[in-house]
Amino acid sequence: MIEKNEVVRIRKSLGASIIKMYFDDTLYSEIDKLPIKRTPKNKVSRRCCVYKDRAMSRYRMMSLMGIDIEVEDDEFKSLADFAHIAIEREKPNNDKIISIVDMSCAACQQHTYIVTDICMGCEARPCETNCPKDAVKIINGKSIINYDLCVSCGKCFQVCPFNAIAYSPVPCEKDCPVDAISRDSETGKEVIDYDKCIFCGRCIQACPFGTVVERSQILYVAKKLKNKVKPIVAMLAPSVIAQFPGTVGQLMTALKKIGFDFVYEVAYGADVTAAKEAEELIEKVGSKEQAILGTSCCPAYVESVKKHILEFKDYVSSTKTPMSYTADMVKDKHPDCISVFIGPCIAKKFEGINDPNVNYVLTFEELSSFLLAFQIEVNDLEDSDYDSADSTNVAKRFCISSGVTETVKYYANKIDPSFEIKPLFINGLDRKGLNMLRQASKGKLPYNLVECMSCEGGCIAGPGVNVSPKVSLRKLDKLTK
Amino acid sequence: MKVTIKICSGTACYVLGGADFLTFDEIFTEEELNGISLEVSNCLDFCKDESSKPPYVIINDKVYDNMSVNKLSNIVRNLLNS
Repeated sequence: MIEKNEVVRIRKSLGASIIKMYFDDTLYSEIDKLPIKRTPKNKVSRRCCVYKDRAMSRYRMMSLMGIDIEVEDDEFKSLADFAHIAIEREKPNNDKIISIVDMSCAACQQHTYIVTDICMGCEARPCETNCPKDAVKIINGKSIINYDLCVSCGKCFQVCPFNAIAYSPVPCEKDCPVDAISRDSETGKEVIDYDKCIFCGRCIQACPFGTVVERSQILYVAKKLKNKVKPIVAMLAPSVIAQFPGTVGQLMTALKKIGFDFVYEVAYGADVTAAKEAEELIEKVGSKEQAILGTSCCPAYVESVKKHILEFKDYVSSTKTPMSYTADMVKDKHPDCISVFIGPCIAKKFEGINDPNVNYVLTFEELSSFLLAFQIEVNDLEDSDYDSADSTNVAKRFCISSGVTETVKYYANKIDPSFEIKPLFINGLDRKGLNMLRQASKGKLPYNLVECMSCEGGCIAGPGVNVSPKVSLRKLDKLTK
Repeated sequence: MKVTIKICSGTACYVLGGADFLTFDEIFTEEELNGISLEVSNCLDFCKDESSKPPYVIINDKVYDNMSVNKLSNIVRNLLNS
């Protein structure tokens, strides 16, 4: 992840512009001017020229409007044409929620280790002598890597006394835990293998060019808010706690100003999930039917089990996620409504598209685009209350690593105080986390509950958050401890 | 004289990175904090223009845009040491 990331700022402000134009009834007339307004000809460009910057703005906006740029791109169409397509659409046309802007890609180095001009061609030549594949030779006083032999082990990089060998990974490939993103040998550009992708969002956060984009649902939601026929219900994930200034109560008022009719707390669903998971744990593990139970609330982890660690599949709890239980309740109380989950997660978009009771999913980042478009100062608003019943304080902490376990413990203790939970925390589903999951599936580790969260630190560190996890954790501790 | 910091916590500043300044007690040491007078403010109205670059922070009456934790601590430390 990149600290203080300009790509995020650009995305938020473009999202805000699209929403504002839509509500001002200027979307079709103004949208094609926006890339030019953002990068006028006299402005210093971020890429090779202003025209490429404008092209990138175009693809970003298409993606923000929910267009699948890999399938639907048509250079003859204007952004206004795409806006028409997006507005006519009721919901995403497929669940491949992450795409690559191929014209922006291919900026990365072809090779992971590169000899730089700093190389002195020294006599010791540890790069040559330590290379296990004989890929490095010193020719004409300079180290040369033969990439036909090189396996990118990094030995030369480690041993060079002058730090003359640079490590230059492809950021998206490096951060993908399941090797779902790789270079197409013909075009040299990155492609996503959707049979492998778990929608964790690491590639989006990793790419310094903003080349990997998520498809947004802001325009679908904006349309429902503007031309309201049915009540619209916001479902706020527990990690909302510090995502916006002021209190969560003030944010609820902000949501109502935007046009939401009701606001439900997903921590309510977290209570349901934890209670059912506790029951399942005692039933299955207590009876020795199985040795371990895996949690089921993180969609990227559940997807990784389905696609990569099939041996763990039977251990994953059959309990539904907090979003799903909350959506069930929302649809029960307001059968006619449009339900919108708002959270920190990109994989939840994938889960939401496949859940009949969840109409749309927004990230906190996308909600900030709405607040920016409406110029809402959250600090100036009155407090409102959730329209759902109150959740427990433990369930409000579902969004941090160990939070799910604590809530399951709380409910398990009510059923059988003698039942001892021995948790394994997989805090971050990187390659190491995936290996832990493989180990756990052998059933020989001294644990009986596996809590797995794709993002290190939990949902408060999700790819769609506004604030650093530190800020969220502080506020959470202050309000729930 | 104390260094005065006014952090804008309006919506735009907050969601575009300003929230990180709220951990100021982790950014500065206790000794440094004694030399700082800090105020967290509602929207200071710098963000309304299209070319604006939140988050905004005012340090000793000078307005800084596009502020980061690293820049903030650097500017304040220089003032504390001068």
